[in-house]
Amino acid sequence: MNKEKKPMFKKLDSEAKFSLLRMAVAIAIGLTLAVILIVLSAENPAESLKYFFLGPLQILNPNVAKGLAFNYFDFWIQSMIPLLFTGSAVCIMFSANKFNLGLEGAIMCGGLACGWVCCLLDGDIKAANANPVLCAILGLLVGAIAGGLITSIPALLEKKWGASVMVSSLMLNYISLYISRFCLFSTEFRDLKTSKYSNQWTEEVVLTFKKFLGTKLTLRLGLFIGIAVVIFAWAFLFKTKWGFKIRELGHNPNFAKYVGVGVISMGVLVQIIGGLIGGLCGATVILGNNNFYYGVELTGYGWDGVTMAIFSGNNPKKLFLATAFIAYIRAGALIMSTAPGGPINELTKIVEGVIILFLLAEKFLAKTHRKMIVKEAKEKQALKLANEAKEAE
Amino acid sequence: MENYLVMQDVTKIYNNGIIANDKVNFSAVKGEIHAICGENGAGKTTLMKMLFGIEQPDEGKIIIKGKDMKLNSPTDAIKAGIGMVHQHFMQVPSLTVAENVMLGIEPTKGLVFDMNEAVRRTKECCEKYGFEINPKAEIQDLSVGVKQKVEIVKALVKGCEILILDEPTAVLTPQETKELFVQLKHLRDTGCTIIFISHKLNEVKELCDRVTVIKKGKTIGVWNIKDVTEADISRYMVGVDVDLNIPKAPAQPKENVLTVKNLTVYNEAGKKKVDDISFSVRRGEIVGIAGVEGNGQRELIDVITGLAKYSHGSIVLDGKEVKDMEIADLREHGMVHIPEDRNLYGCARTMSIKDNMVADKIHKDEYNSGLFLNEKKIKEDTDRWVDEYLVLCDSGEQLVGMLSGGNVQKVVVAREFTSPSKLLISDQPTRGIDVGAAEFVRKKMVEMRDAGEAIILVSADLAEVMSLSDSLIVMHGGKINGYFKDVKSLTEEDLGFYMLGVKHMSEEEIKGALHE
Repeated sequence: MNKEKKPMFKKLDSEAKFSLLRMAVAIAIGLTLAVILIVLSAENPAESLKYFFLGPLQILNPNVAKGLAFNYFDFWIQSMIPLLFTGSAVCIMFSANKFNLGLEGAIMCGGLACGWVCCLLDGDIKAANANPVLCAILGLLVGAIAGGLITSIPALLEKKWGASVMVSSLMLNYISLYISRFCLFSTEFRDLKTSKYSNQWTEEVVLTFKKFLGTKLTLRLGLFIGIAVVIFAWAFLFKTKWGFKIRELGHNPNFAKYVGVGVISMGVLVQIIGGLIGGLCGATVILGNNNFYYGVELTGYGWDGVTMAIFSGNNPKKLFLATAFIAYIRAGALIMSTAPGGPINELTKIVEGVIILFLLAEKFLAKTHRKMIVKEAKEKQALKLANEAKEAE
Repeated sequence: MENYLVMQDVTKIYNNGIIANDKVNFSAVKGEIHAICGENGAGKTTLMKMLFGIEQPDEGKIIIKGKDMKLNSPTDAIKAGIGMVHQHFMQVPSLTVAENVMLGIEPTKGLVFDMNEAVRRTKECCEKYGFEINPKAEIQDLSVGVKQKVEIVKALVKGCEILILDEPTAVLTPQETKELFVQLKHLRDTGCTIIFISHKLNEVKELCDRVTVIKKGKTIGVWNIKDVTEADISRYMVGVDVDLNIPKAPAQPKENVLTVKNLTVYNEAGKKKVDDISFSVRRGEIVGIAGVEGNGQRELIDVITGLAKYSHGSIVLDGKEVKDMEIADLREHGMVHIPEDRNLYGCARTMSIKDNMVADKIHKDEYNSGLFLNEKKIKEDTDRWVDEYLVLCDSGEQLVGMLSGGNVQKVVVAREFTSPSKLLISDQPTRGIDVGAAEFVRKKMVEMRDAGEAIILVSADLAEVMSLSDSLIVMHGGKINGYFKDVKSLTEEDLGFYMLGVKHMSEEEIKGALHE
């Protein structure tokens, strides 16, 4: 038995090796393209490249003289936070093959509900004075529930009438957006002074501490909530019976039905969980950045979640690396574009798009894969023959 | 004709790392029927897929009429004069025979399909080779035997000189098989080369001129059929003598576990597939269900196992109506099921052996500690089952998709047999698995019967149904056409007549299937 165990680890290794190789090649192609685009479009390519590749590592840009006193490192962290949430949500939903694209709506509604609650408890509307910690917790909670409610709509529509989740969830994103705009423009939530933003709540509720403990660092509680969500998503998917059933459903729905998984209710459950996380994301982002609500456009974080799920292969464990990477190039691009003469920020979208394309293209590097398989199979066979020969002796 | 058809040192490695063919050599001459024998999973089908251009060899040469060929697609193969009849027919049921035969080479008059020409050419081909088929009949109205002839005509009409038949008799009754053989011999006499893939050795012996035996992806040898006996071939295939008879004491049936009464099932198109049938299965007996495919067996099994719903009649499992239970409840109530299609229902190929084995029990307390899965217990149990059920693998962490068919089936069987149960529904439990694995599964079933399990066995393998079952139900046209309390008195030929609906039993006799 022991003899046979050896080639198995090799086998897994080669599959893992191939997916690593694929990822590396895709990223290399994407980054090469970025470099080419920067060189072509920047006034000072060397400077721009430096900002793009190294910018996010700077905690405080020393170039204060130029008026660029941003905490660049914080850009990176800030871009990472929503990705952690939405990546987890999409990992869970896609694991069950539920292509609910309603995260945008969940984020919208989560932020809106959270903002309103904070305004009521600790803000301008009622001018009540609740404990800020309690207020923040309640805000996050209500935000999450709002998100869960909104994504459960397409799920229930499918359960009841067989409506396509993808279509109805996409439509709900816009419905959520217009609800948010309606609240901002036509209700007591509206701030009469600026006409664009909501009423305000006290700064104490905000989840971000700039110049934390007198240092140059900015502490974002959102990051920790995000990390907790990723850990939850991983444990839920891989360490509980519910997660097991969800994955079963994703791997083979017929099989799931046959072994007794309640396929329909499980499908609804994952979408509600995804929505809860989406809502929490919206709430965290709103409470993390400002003391007012400003949701007049879709955030795009929902789509980022899909990107993240693809990067991590639906395994939340890999989300940390994936989000760190994408957030890094985004922060880099942003820093680069704010410098004078720098190329535009949207460059990252091209890079991301290209990487995703190569990750999803099934036949990409297929010949290399094939060669690896053939080589491996032969090695395995040779080993087996050698073992048999030994036994014969 | 030295180099009429030669496959030389052909190697094929699948993407899951399995070496299906390892330097296989095969050759055939003009005008012979050449059998390829081997256990399931030995690599027969892979070899033929390469000859028909569906798969491409990683190494080796294919030589046809002296020319080195590169067959990248079935189109190339057809051009080279090769035709293949698959196990599953590739036909459009709503079209006529002539239309099906002409698919891909449609005769046209201006812009429209020339039906008259299609019928004429189909007829001509049928007459030339002695097939009696009405070109204007619709495929869906034909029996399986005739459908198969259509499939052969389809190949012949395209000018095929080398015809591959992949287990052509698997779906036929003994009578239909006999008829097919007459026609194949006639075809051979007209100069056609026929490659006959089968593991039914008596058929090989009766029909073929030569036989090539393949074992575990390697050629064992080629023999003239008159020089070898069935037992010889069997030994070359398996390596050891296999006893196909499972030792079995007479059944001691007890009380009813499953009672089906006046059950009628309509399929999704609203067609009646199961027509007012009643029977019961008792503790400690194996009830076989035989029938030509498509006579309601699948629909019957689907409703008993909860995969589909029924509205007329009743099915009672141990005192509870099946209709009122979800599959999870049914399983809780003691039903286990080996599904007909192990890849569609029986496993998740992209999950590990461990996960597949524990999938139906994952919610049980013993596999959970608090909120989380008890991974230690899961690993312990599944490791033990891997050993117990002789699953050939590197470890329980290996993906099921990496295993051969027989081992996948062992994973399915291990999962189902290790859950406490009262009723086992065993649907084609040994289809497409090697002799050793099949023997293992059959023995386990007899063991379970002796321990008091009620078992339903559906199988297209007549020898299996007849040797394993204690009593036998024959289905024809959605009805029970015959019930045999004791299978021993039944001959295979007689069973064929009931399957075809040539013979019927009286209503009184059929009522015997329901024990009250």
